[in-house]
Amino acid sequence: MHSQEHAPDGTTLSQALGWFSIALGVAELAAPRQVARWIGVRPTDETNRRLRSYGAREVASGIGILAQPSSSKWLWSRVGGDAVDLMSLGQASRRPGTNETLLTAATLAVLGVTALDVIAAQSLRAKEEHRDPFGFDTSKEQAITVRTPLEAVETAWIEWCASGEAGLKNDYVIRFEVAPGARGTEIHLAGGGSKGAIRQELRRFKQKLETGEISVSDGPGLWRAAQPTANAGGANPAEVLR
Amino acid sequence: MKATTWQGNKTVLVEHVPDPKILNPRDAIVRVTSTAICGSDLHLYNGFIPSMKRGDVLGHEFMGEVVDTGSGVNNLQVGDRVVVPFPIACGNCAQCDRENFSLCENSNPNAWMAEKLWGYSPCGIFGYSHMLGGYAGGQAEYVRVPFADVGPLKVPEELSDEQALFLSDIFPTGYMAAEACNIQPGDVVAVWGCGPVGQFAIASANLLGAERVIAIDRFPYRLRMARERAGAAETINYEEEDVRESLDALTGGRGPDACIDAVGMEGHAPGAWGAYDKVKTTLMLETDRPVALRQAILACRSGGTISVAGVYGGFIDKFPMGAVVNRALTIRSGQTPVHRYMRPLLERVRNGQIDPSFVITHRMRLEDAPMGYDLFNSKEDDCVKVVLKP
Repeated sequence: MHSQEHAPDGTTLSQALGWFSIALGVAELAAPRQVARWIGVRPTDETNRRLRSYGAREVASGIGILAQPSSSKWLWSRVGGDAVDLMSLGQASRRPGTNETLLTAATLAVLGVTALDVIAAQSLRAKEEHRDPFGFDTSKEQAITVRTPLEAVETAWIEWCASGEAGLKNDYVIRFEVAPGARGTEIHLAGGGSKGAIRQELRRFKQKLETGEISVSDGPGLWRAAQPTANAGGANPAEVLR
Repeated sequence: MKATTWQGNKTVLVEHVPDPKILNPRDAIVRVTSTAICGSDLHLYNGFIPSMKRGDVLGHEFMGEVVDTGSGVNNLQVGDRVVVPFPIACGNCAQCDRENFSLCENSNPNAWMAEKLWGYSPCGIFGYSHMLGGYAGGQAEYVRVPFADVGPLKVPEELSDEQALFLSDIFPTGYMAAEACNIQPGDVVAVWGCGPVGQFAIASANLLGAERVIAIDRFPYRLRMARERAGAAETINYEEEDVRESLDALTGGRGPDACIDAVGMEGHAPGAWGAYDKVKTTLMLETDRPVALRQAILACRSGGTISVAGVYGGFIDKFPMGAVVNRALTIRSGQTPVHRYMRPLLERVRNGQIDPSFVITHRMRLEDAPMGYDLFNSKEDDCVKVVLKP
């Protein structure tokens, strides 16, 4: 899959967390006494009741995560559950008969899992919203390949932006990659405006880079007939190069 | 200047429009001495190609004299006599580097429109819709030629306009269609459509060593030209005989080794298929009428080649893919990268192997372009090819 080439993807991590959730939940439901001992708490009827209810919550979150792998909401439910767990562990430390060493280890473990939950939930949410970690809308990333070595393309892009011919108004992320088989350089651009505007910008840059000029239509778009104009510069003002 | 402009369905006008000017360093301005109406112009005339606008200057087959050059054009001088390829190509991009000039990545300023219909954009073309660049065409007194350092070919003095003009499109297009058939000794080639491109496909198949060429059309005067001028060994009038039965008999039951569709999107056919496509295109449920293509696919021998020179614009129905797959047919097509063919074909004209002017049936002033379109479209007055003299 395309997404697996780019870490962190979030899906693999969230699946692992889903299975972990179910395993922990089943343990809490089936053997609350044993679980209480692992985390250094003396088992009582109350801890049994609590651990069973947490277990039910864990199983529900786990099933949700595995059933809807691209939705972040079940992972956020795990984050909420982690908070409840941490509060309970904090309360337990004041109770008599608690093994402080085991309890501290359990608290650290839950903190670690909480961090993983947050990372997985955030990366899934980013995917839901088509944003990269910088917040740019990656669903609108557009690409073009130019027949020019990478270093020359980078230099030309800087000159292009300085020349005032660049048409991107908003912030953008640009990435240059060597194209395979001596095909030149791939330019990937996210942000910067609408899909159409970005594609047009990439085409204009490619034209300038490869041909030294920007192609001019006698009838740009569909708003003017394709015939010469009395004022030649009026053909497509932004694109006319005298 | 005077220019032929598109005015909607089946209407063109010769109007006064501003003279073109150099807009880019690699532009040149050409004073047109001869220009022709192409069969593909009829697709515009009949409203089959989207993204046309009232007032668009038509024409992509033209030649003339260079009257101005931009600062980036070093190979041409004012006064040079040139013929200009219909595809506009930059000569720099990856496709031009592979000599796929009709797939130039930089010459269509309206590429986004073509991407919507076709996925990616091909090159820009003179006078052929906004989707293909919105360039003013050459059925005019003057025309701006972008990337003039790449396309225009200087014409030797000894050749007349009429001998050189068709290097701009139809001769290379017919030749490429025949070349795509990979003709081997003994091969029989069938050509659907005996318009100008069909005539050049027939002539080129003979140049490339076909055993026999069979021409298919419904107009006796075109079939006569195919026999007498282009060199077709046999002809089939599809309104008088069943094409597949005739081809089967003429090829000893094998079927033609290669079939050339020189008809394209406005094909006609007697009977049910013709009616089917007429109804579907009229109701806008289909954009093209692929009657010749269907017939060519079914008629071709197993393992043979279908070479599509006719222009298709959009979507077709009832495409016999089963025949293509199960009988291992090869389909080849494409707008012609004219630049690749101009010089070798110019040599064939110079050394007398072919005189492309044989297709011309009508010569007119530019002002008579509306009559030329009408005659060519309605196939009146035995019209095959109209040349306009601005």
